[in-house]
Amino acid sequence: MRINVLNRLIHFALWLMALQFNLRPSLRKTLKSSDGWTNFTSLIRRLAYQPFTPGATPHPSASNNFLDNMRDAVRLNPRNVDNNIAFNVKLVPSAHDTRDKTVETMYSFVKSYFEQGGMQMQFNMVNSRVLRDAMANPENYRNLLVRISGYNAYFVHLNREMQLELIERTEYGL
Amino acid sequence: MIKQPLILEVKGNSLDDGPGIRSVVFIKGCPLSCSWCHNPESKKAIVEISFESKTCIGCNTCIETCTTDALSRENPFYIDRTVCDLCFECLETCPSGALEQVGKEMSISDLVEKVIRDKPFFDTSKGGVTFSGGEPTIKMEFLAEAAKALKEQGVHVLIETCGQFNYEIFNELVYPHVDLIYYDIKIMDGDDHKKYCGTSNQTILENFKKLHTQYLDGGVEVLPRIPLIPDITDTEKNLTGIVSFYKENKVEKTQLMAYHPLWQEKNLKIGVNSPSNDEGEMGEWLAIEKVKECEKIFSDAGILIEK
Repeated sequence: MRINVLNRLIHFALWLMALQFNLRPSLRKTLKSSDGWTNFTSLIRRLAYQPFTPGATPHPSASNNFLDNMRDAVRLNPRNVDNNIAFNVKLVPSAHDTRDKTVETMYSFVKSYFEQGGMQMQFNMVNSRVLRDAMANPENYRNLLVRISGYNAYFVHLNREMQLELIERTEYGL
Repeated sequence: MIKQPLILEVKGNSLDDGPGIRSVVFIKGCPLSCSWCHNPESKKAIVEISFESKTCIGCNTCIETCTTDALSRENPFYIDRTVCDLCFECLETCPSGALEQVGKEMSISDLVEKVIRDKPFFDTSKGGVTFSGGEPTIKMEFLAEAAKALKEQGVHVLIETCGQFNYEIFNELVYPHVDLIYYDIKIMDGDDHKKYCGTSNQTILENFKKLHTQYLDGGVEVLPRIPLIPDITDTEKNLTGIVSFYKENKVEKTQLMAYHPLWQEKNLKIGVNSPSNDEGEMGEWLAIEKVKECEKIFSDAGILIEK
């Protein structure tokens, strides 16, 4: 019973906030920039009844540039995050990359992140399993940038044949 | 007042447009018009409208909004660009974002503000900002001012160019603010170049010679890159011609970019009928054996292939 009341209260509060957002264009502008806290509340583009993203993982619609998400994550004050910060970073090693390049990229992400005040991060290496999931659920992978020999593309913008081809290439290291 | 080019996109977190983690500024407009262009939306220097049918939810609000009757589901490109007056009213009403404006103006201060946020990543990865497109040198003053503003902030600046520009102006305005140049060498034969790229390659080759000589004298590094396009640039005749050109100019390393067909969808979005859509080799990735063959031509001549 208590949970129901709490639920409704939260629902009302969120509705009020959404109303504010819609009525005040200046607020919309602030929240839209990646400097706002939109990334973690994802009020704007999360559809009703969809779960929030876990931990401090940015919602895919927050920004199509992962560096923006990293920058937002470092600004969290760990004193205010009781249950620890769990921040996921997707790294897309291209089959054409040498191991050195993949390691150097990881090093750059990690060093910059901690230098700017970040506290915790974990890497998701993009492999064919992730790509298959992206085919099935493109709305969760809007910022997934795939790399093929000198070219970047947003995976969810490619047509089906290209996506399948890419998956095959990733699996066989082509 | 500096003449502003249109900016297509500023893409961050790019690992493929130069060393380290980079932000790439795509400038709209190009003096060339290569038949294989992987960014067909960047060829013309004017504002355009694009439609992505995958994103469209079929609400038809745009059709109702359009004052010139330019939109129709019968049309494979959806937009009749001969009647569209680019008022962009349909964009305002589109709930899914299937209709997009291609090419927006951006002031230099806005541009710098946008890319400078990623500076900590540039610093640790020895990355920076890359100017590409299209052709970034179409508005030389803008490029010069932008590069200068970035250099003042300590950012590494890389320019990807086709080489078709006025050398004196480039040398005077842009050259002092650039750290690295990626230069495209496409086709050696003048007639073929005119046929496939739309202009002669004389200026391009001359500019390269001058820039590379400056590099050998201690100037900015120039890396020549070759796009390997099936039956157009990957022929033995073209590549051996390029090898001779390299030898004449004491070029020691190059980069080869293998063709891939992912760009052809963009033609549909921008309303262009591709002459070689999905036909034969242009619809396929360049075979690995072919890439290796091409690499061999260069390594046999003692030229290093940079990955």
